[in-house]
Amino acid sequence: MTENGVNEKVKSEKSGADSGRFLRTFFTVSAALAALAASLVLLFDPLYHFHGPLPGLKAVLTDKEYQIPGTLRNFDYNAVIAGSSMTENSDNALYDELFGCRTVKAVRSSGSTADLNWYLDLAFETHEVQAVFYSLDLFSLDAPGGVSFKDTGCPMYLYDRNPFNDVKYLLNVDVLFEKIPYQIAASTFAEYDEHHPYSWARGKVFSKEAALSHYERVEQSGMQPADEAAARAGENIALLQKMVREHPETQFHFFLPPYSALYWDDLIRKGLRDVWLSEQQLAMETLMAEPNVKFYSFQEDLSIITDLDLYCDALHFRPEINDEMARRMACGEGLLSMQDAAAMPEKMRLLTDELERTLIEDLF
Amino acid sequence: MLFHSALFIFMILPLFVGGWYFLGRYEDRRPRLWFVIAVSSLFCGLFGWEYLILLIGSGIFTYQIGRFAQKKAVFICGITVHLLVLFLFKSAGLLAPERFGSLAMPVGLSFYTFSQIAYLAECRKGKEGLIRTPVRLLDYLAYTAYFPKLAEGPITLPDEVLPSFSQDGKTVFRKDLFTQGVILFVLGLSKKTLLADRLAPVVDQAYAAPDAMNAAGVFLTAFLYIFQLYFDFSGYCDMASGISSMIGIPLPLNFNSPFQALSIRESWQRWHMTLTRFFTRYVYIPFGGSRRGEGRRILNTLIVFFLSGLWHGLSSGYLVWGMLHGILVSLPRRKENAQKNPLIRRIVTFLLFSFSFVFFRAEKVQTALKLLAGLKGGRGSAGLYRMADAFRINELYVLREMIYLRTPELLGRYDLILMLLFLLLCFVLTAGRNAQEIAGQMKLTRRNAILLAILFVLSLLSLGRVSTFMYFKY
Repeated sequence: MTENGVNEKVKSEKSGADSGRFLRTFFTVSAALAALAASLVLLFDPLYHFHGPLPGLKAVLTDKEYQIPGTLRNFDYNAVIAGSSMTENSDNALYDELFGCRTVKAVRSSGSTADLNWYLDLAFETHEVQAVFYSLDLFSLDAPGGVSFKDTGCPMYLYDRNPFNDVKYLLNVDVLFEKIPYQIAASTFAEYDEHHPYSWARGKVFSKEAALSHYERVEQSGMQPADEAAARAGENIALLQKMVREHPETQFHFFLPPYSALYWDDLIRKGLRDVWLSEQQLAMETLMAEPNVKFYSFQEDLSIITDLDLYCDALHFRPEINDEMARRMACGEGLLSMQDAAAMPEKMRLLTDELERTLIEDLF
Repeated sequence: MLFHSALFIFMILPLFVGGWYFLGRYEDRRPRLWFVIAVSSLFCGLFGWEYLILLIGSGIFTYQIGRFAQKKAVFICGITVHLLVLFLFKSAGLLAPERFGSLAMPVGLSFYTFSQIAYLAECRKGKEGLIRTPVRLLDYLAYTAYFPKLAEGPITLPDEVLPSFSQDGKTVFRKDLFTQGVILFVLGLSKKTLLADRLAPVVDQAYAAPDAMNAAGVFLTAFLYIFQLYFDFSGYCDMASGISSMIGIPLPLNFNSPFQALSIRESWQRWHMTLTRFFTRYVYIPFGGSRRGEGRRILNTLIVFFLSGLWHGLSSGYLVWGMLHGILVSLPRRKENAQKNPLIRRIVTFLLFSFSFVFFRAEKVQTALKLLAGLKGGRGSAGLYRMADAFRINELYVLREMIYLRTPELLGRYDLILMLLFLLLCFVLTAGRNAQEIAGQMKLTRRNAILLAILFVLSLLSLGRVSTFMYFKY
């Protein structure tokens, strides 16, 4: 072998050794850093996917789509508050005090029945649920059946039981640099109120002006026939009935929240009021036939629905109304009988027609 | 499946590289070629199994046509079928939106169509072409389906990749190439996740309300988009080259520091180089190139860039973008330009290049004109601040929250300053060596390995929120 050849061989061996050392260092440090990141997420678990809050830290619940599956699996509770954004401002501690239970929230902005049903199934699978407080929204009954988490971009790795895709949570820049610091800050120096998880009321303006500014009055269209109710809401009502029947040991408190007069005006103008009221009546009659169901209504409370200062838009009311509903339910106020349920559509039709002639006419 | 997914990085990539070298112990190349086809089929099939049928069908068709491509009629038939399929998918949604509006572009169709046309053209040239050794159907299918280059190129010619698949013999593990591959892959991954995807929401915000942008906003939009596109597309190509390098098969360079070009003509020698090469070799030169006088040269250049616009899509924005570049490239070279300060030439080229891409991003000429009208003035800075508000660096979340809590009135300015600093970083990064050069020249020290590992883990952490690659739709 020539001198050049020897040099080349030595050079090549050195280069191979350098590459080997470089790759070993690279893979070792990468694995160590990734393990460190994953361990931090596993320890603090800000989305509560693996366990509840660490001792000394509050349960900081602000991202419902990300945190509800985890809280339902891993928190200590025996009652669930379920519903749409109408329920998000409820005070868990007040429910705990009034009903002698320990509540968590299972809320979905759209109030989709199938989605809420999925959440409640998860609660029943993992806990002994003594009570469910379920805000039954008019719009949720009419919504399409079928679970919508995937289609609405929810992080499915937090919803399923596949341990392999948990890597998306464990190695996640948002979780590491945003959720964990937020959880620590909210638990220590920031004043996070643990009793109002997912509450959106802070910073919102509740006034007649605010409610009217968010209300866009549509053109009047013909009223849709009420006899379509069964076809439109049947699937959702059947889901609710099935859930109630499968859990006879659980007391279900369904309640109808008070929408403002503006919202009823909107329903009338869109031609939806009659069919939605019929859907509601169908749901009430179906569910009230079950022995473990109590049904409450606050939608006809004129002192609330005509006072637009209680609302930030046509639909959403002050958190005090959530508290008021809880108190009334605890003392049996607003509880409906079968006769009340049968008379409800007509009662609401008359009441909202009257509002059209008085309050609404004055406003527009 | 995408390169920048946990499934690919932790499962498919190690399996592919390991499997390649395991099967490479045999002299017979066929087991490893079947393996390449299987992994590539999985890669393609996860986007949609119907795309796989098209890919394999197209490969078999091209191979058979290639055997008889020296007959002019067969050759023309092969080219026509390829172009028709491409045109069908490009135009269906546009020409009949009710019926084909949801018809998605098959993954990689634009890229493998051109690679296959190149194969047919070289088959037609016979011994004077680039195909020097016999190619069997299995070799050709593995070459066509080869997943690193499938989805976004680079557009290979038959003397690239194919020779590695058409020769028997054991594969040799080259540690230096493997190391370069790892470095390239990490650099590409970080370009995509840490740079391009941070810019995406800002650019989206700007194009969602183009008539809200003032002059500063228009400049920022043009600059940020060209960087987004560059980091996204070149990031993909770096990852593709990295994967291929890990198994010892080099892929052609597709981006060579394009923002260091001193003219638009030079930009096209540095930007999407394999597309430029394809058009030069198979359109410009056969049409006579510059050999038939100045008029013909200009016409040929315009044809090439018109076709380039058309290749990207049938929307008016792409066509205007293509013609703009055709005009800029076909302008006669002036000697006095060469004497100008290179820095000035580089700045002018960057401005022309980035602003021409406003039409490309907007897709519709009206949208682009709405945005560019902001240069005339008379618009407030609200649009600019909305852009800045869309810009986030998650790693600095705590700092942003502290500003929000203590001095909320300064938050808008903080976002804007951060965005401008990021833009500055983009300029700095693109002024230096490109990823291929870094990977080839990096000193293999422990310090560099640690820095690369940090970059890799930061990129991994960002996987949860990244989007698909921008050139997937072409």
